[in-house]
Amino acid sequence: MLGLGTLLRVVKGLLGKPLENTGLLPTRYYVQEILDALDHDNIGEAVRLLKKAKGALIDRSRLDLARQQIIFRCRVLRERHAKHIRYLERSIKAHKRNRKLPWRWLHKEPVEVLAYYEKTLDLEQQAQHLLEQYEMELKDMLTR
Amino acid sequence: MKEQKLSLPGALFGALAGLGADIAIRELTGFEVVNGILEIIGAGFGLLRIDKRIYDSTVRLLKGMDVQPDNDYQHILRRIDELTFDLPELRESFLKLMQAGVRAKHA
Repeated sequence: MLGLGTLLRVVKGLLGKPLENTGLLPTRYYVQEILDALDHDNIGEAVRLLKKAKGALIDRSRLDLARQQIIFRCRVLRERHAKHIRYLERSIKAHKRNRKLPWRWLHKEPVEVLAYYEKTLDLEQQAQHLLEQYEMELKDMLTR
Repeated sequence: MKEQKLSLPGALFGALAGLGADIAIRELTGFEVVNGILEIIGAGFGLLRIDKRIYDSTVRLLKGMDVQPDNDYQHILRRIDELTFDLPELRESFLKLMQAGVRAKHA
């Protein structure tokens, strides 16, 4: 049987956005939604919702705690991306170095692997840059 | 006591009248009355447990940190210090959680 909570979530999913975008809903509603977005590492959505809730005065401390949680998650994810980037850069360097070795001249070059590494590196760098931008935005909210 | 009878045509008429009124208000004023009410009811269920929700999220964040199984307490504290140097409330929450964890382990 369909639970009431599930039904409300479906209704909210279908109809909630227009009202949410007005920023008139209670601050706690936005905090709830921000934390849901954060659970799924959807930082962009969490930042968007935080911006919508900026005018609310009640529950300011809860909203600020949610903001700090987003910044923290951004930092953890950025570190993870940095680790991936270091690994990919090492791998690309090793591939390029190995290609120059004489006994590899007749060996078929693993071009696909190198291209895959480079593409992944590019995506990782983009993700890291995006997280940096989000963090800056969230820090600016603190000083406002 | 007088017995009450439920009328199916009456219910259908009521539903249609309600839908008509909602559409008319939306078209004339631009306000989405029914959507708004449903949204507030949905939000209300979540609002009652907001502090528990914040606590759950804090625990999840702490668990989501990239720490190795052999990292000791001091190392994790240093990592928390590094990552929360400008986030005082969150840092305090993390420290309380860590202390509670240590106390539970010793108990």
